[in-house]
Amino acid sequence: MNAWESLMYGFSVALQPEALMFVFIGVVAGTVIGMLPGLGPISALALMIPVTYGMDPTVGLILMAGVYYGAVFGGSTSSILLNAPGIAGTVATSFDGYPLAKQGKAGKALALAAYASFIGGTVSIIGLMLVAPLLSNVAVAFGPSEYFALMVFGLTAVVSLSDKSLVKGLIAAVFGVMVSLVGMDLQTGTARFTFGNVNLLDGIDFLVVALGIFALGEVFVLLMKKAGSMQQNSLGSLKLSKQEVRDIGPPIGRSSILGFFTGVLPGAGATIGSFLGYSMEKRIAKDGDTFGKGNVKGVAAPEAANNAASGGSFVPLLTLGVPGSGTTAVLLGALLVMGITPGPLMLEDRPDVFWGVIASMYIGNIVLLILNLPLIPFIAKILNLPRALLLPLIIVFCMIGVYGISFNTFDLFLVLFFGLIGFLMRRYGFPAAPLILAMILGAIMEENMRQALQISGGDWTVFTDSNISLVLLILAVLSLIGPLVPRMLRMIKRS
Amino acid sequence: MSINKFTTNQIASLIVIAFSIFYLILAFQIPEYALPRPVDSDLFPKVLGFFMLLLGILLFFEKDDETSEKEEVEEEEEKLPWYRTGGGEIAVTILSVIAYILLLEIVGFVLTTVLFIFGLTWFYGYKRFVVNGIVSVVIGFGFYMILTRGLGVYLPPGILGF
Repeated sequence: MNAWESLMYGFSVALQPEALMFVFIGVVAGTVIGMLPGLGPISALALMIPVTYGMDPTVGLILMAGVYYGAVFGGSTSSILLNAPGIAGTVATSFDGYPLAKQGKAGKALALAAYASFIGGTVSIIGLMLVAPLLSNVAVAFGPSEYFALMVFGLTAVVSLSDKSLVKGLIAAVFGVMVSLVGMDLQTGTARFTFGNVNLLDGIDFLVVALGIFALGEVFVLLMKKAGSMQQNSLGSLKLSKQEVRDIGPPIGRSSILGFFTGVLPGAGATIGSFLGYSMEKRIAKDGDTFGKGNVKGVAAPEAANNAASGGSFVPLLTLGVPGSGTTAVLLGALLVMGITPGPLMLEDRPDVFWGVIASMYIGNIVLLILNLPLIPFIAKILNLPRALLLPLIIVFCMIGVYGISFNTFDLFLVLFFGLIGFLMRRYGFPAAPLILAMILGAIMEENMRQALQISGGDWTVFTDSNISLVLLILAVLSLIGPLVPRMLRMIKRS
Repeated sequence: MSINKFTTNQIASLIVIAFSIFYLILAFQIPEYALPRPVDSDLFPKVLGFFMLLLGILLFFEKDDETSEKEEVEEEEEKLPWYRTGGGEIAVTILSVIAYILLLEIVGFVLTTVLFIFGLTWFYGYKRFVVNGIVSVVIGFGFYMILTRGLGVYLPPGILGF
């Protein structure tokens, strides 16, 4: 099958009534969750994993794709209406989106965001279709040492690009790896860090950590913040003038392509993509000085870029089986729950899943557009939902989600424990994304490292013998040193 | 208060250092595998522990940044009873969650969930009891039906017995 036929096959999977229904549910649920301040795509995906229990993997994934897109769009909605971006990826949208809303043009800004997201998403899906098969051909040649190096690089990239301190990012990542090691060592049967507790022998489930940190932890953060008065502006018309359509065309195109490639790189993703798109357009535009005061291009560019980046981040996930961001790490966890291990062989072994996902992402994109545009006035009302009612619901959802797979109340206490850790991390300014990524990668990382050393008979040069792993490890070191260089130069100057 | 002498990062750093020492103690207790291997179970944890210790020490000397969300203590908060402050609400929430977990398998999913949602929503200050009651009953009962009947997921029936 060539790519085109495969994609058509994917569409035939994704267009079945059941699949369509779940895309629909996913998009709505994702939009609603993504709109709530503090809850972004990671929380939305984690909260929806329990819904996929017992589902056919293809349908489950289709649901997840809908949730993902919905949550990214939902984040833009709260950025525009409330100037309260749910996640870092939509911060750039609020720069011009909120000023537009203050001018009574919130409807226009939201419509703009929907169109730009749609085009960005479309571009990224085409990119994914073209790039993913190429990359999986390369990835088949990966052995344990290459995988180990790739994961190290993925982790350091996420840490170095997080907007918080490098040291704190690394602490979060190391802690994540530590959590993943709890339980029985599969190679020797030795129990590690179980405190003699049988419940810990199987290790800590990833969902426990994801729901604890990204859902329960957020509940605590929201309680602490004491919701301020949320001033909503009137929506105004959703229509764009012809001139505006002409204005935003080129920025959307450029930002989509830029966004896609940023998304493919480990660690970069939606946040960097949207900021790059925004600043690029600001520099290029003749009316660059009106950016930040409600310029339509300032909404279109970051929106196109962050959606394209979301699509791009599927490339490493589907072809290498190694997620490059917190969000795709949670998605990988969801896949593993459904019994699918993404990687270079997925394209051959499970083409239905691979192409089904791509097709359903596309359909999710379309559903998002036709669903959200007319529903924008109603969706905006959700932001008025009383917090008092919402928070207990989120907690119950976490509890059901975990109890539904483990049937064990011990895991529920663990969720609470990780909820507190998530809360403390937020209070002390630690980024949470490296933790969840490390938690997913940690155990696989150790396994690959030990396998590589097993093959080489304990010779550590195995990691530098292969060109691929050597390059990846050098990149990993550079990604950590890179941000420090300007600071060091300043220190040298001062002394 | 003496704790104010430390910056936010220094407090966090002390926690990290204490944790990594504790982790290292455990890592050194991991037993050796009977057959000699190039890398045994204890190597990776030991490396992680020392790395974490180093990072904790580095953090001690890092300046606070704006990214840490400091407590925005409002003037009015002083007059509020303890359970109405952010910290108090969190404490009550945690206690409620613990109670929920303990009662879940004894009392059953439906009853515990309805009580939990209704009680906590009321505690957070939502005054429309009818709406609250309807939402908690619909959610508790609805989830139970969808999950146990529709998706075949087991949830504890408890004293209601269905």
